[in-house]
Amino acid sequence: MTRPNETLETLLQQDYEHGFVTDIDTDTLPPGLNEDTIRAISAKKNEPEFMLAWRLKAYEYWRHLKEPHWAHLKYDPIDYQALSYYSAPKLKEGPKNLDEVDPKLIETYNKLGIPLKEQEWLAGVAVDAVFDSISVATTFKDKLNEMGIIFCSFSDAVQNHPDLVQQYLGSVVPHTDNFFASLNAAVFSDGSFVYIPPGVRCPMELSTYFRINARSTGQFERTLIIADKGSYVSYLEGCTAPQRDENQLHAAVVELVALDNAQIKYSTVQNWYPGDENGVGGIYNFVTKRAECRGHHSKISWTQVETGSAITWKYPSVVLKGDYSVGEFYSVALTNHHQQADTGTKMIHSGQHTKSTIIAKGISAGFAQNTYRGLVKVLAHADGAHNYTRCDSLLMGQHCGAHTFPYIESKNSRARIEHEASTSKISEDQLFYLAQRGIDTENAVSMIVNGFCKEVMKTLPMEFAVEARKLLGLSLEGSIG
Amino acid sequence: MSHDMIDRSLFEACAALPGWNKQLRLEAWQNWQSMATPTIRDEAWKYTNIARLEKMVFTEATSTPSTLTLNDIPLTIPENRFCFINGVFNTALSADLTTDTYLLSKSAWPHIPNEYQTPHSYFERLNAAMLNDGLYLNIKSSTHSPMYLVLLQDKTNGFSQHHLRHRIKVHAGIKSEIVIVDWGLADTTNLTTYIIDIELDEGAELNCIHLKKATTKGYHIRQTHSHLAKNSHFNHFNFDFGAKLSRNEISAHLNGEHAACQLNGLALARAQDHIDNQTQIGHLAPKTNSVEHYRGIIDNQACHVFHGHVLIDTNAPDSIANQQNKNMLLTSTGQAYAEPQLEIYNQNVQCIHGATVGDIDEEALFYLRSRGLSDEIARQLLIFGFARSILETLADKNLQNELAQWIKTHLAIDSELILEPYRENDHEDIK
Repeated sequence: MTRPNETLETLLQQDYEHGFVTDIDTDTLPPGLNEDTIRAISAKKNEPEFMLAWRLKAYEYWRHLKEPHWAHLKYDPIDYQALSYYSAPKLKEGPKNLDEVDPKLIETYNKLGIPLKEQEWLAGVAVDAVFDSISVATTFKDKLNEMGIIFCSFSDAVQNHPDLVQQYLGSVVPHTDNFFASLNAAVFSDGSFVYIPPGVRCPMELSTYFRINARSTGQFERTLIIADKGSYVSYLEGCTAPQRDENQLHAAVVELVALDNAQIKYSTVQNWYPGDENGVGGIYNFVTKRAECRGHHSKISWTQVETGSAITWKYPSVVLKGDYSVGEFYSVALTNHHQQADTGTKMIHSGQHTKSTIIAKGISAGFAQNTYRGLVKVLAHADGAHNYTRCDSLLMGQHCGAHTFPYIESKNSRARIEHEASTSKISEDQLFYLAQRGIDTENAVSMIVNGFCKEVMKTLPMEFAVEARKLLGLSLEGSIG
Repeated sequence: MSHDMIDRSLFEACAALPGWNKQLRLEAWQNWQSMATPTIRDEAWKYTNIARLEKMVFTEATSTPSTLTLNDIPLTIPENRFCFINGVFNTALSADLTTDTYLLSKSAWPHIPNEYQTPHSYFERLNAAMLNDGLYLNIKSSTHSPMYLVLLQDKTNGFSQHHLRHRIKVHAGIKSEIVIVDWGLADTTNLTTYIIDIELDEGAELNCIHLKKATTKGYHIRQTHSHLAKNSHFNHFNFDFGAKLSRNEISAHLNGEHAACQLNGLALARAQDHIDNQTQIGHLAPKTNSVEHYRGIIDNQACHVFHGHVLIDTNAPDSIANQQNKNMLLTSTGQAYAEPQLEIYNQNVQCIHGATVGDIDEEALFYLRSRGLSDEIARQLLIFGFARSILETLADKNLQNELAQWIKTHLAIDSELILEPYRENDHEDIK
């Protein structure tokens, strides 16, 4: 029998498949952060006064904050003055269709395996592709327009729908929320904006591909999705990044709002550059994602497959305000080499008869540290609230770690909270069983791991499930110590 | 930073006592003074706010001569016991001291190992500076009946303070049982810090049962630290009947191969009680095993905090850890906080943990109602049944019976039905 470790080594040594840098002219601000930087960003984007005021307020607040270090993460200090806070591909005119998009960009997408045209034709997915910080191509706009759906870049939304932006921006993640969210509020460059009008079911999955491209550029995306009464939307977010030696900071904010009877499904596959096998380079990912079930019977579900980034600090949360609202969190977090992930969720039950489900699967290999950190909070008036949490960890190798830090806070006797967690390695019996049937270790591990994550993977939309399985396949197979 | 809750003159009176190492006291006092009081921004004190302690001024403990006797406690205390009243050893109520069992004030301070002589935490430092007394128990022979360590708190003038520290060493291959009773009789405000250091040699086994009924105005901080050598077993049972603030920090360091610990606890919080149970289990050697089961019953405006931390070190392959925390929250004015945590650095482990918070199970209630029990009795049965699963982990049947009665009284359960299981012996007699 071949030693499983050898297989593991070969598999884990693979180069990052999406590691390349596209050579494109960028319009980049010099490094450093002060009030002028913020004014410059706002001016470049031709923003109305309220946006600038909000950014400045956030910056003023952020200046007095200290970077949080409570997470189970170790990394070198980040010099916020050494980063450049704005980088936009130079465009003479906005493209009207795919043919007008810079061919180099199209080439980038082809390398990533997301030909826009093919997606437009085959998958029926509208792609709002964010290349570095500003949106360059948007498809299916007309079709969505007919239904009254707004799906555009954040900058466009600020120009064309300032009322909506002003009403909802910062209403879920205020500019005072936390260190990284405040920073984002001050300097965010662009992102996506979605508004689904009352009673509309979005006919296609909305998708954005993020890429971090220019060297030393912090990526500060901001996404805002509003599902009005009785509407439905499924949103996909996928990330890949070119190979780098130095660490890049990414501090995004995602805000979701669901009104009465509305439903939002938000899926992420995150595959940013995790650093090399010695832990050099990789993306620092400090993301604030929060959803608010504002209306009764609303539902929001987060699904995430996290395989990339050197550092992941991410807790997609749901605030269940509306009565009978539902929050869900499904997560697979994989860490390998020297990756560190401190991720989980927060479910805040405020409305009556609210329900939340948390399924988190953590896989840790190599020298990686994988932490689940979750909060379930039931407020005093949330009668009949119910939470079910299950988090499982799989360890592969002698030097990795898996940690579970749940926090349960209940102030209501009519609430029910259940939490369970387990940690183990892949069982020898299962491997032996599969080996008996002629399946080699690589495939056997892949099967077992896919089975381990099945509960989460099945909640992903079709297009993503394929990519996610491929990602897990690439990074996980054969990891037996 | 300086803390006004204890006047320097009180410390100086302590430091002047004969038989103690003045230098250690002074260092502890200075370190305590220079340390910031833990706040809810500190992870370990997230749900327990001790800010109000800072606003109080505590005086000397023994201002009134005590007339307490053991009959004042509704519990049978056998002869094999050592009693402290308001932190001071009471010879009349205690068994004779021996060469293996002596008071810390009688030269035992050097027996506190070095790691304890430099206390780190806020209350450890305060304890080291202000220590009243404590026992050194050198257990060299196995016993069949448990030894009782009793701390009684009597009425004092003003806000009093007591600081105790015991050190228990169980020698190789010895089996022993200790019952520690903390009982507050007078409803006066007091601050108690109580530290117990336990060392188990190879193959030793210790059952430690802790019963705590502090006063409704009492601030009671207790720490139990255990170090386990190869093949040793430590079973800790923590029954807490509440206090204004009751904090129990229990740690088990599984230092030797095949060491095993069981930490069980029951918190019965009612009125304005605040019970905070913090446990730490360190698996530091291969093939170590830990089982933990904590339950809380929370009534009125009370609060129960459970923080359980299990660490599995890289050097601890083939370890097994099982941690459970269940809370029954009976009112919407009460609060339950649970933090069951696992920190694992080795892949050859089996770890599970679970936590629940909820009211009485409606289905179970319906089942009992359908059998003709009144709503009140059905509820009482279910509440008691919830507590019973911890009670039954005690091996000592007599103690189980006495505690069942205690729990019944404490929870104001009037149904005699709940004591049925404990009357089996009576039935046999009738037959």
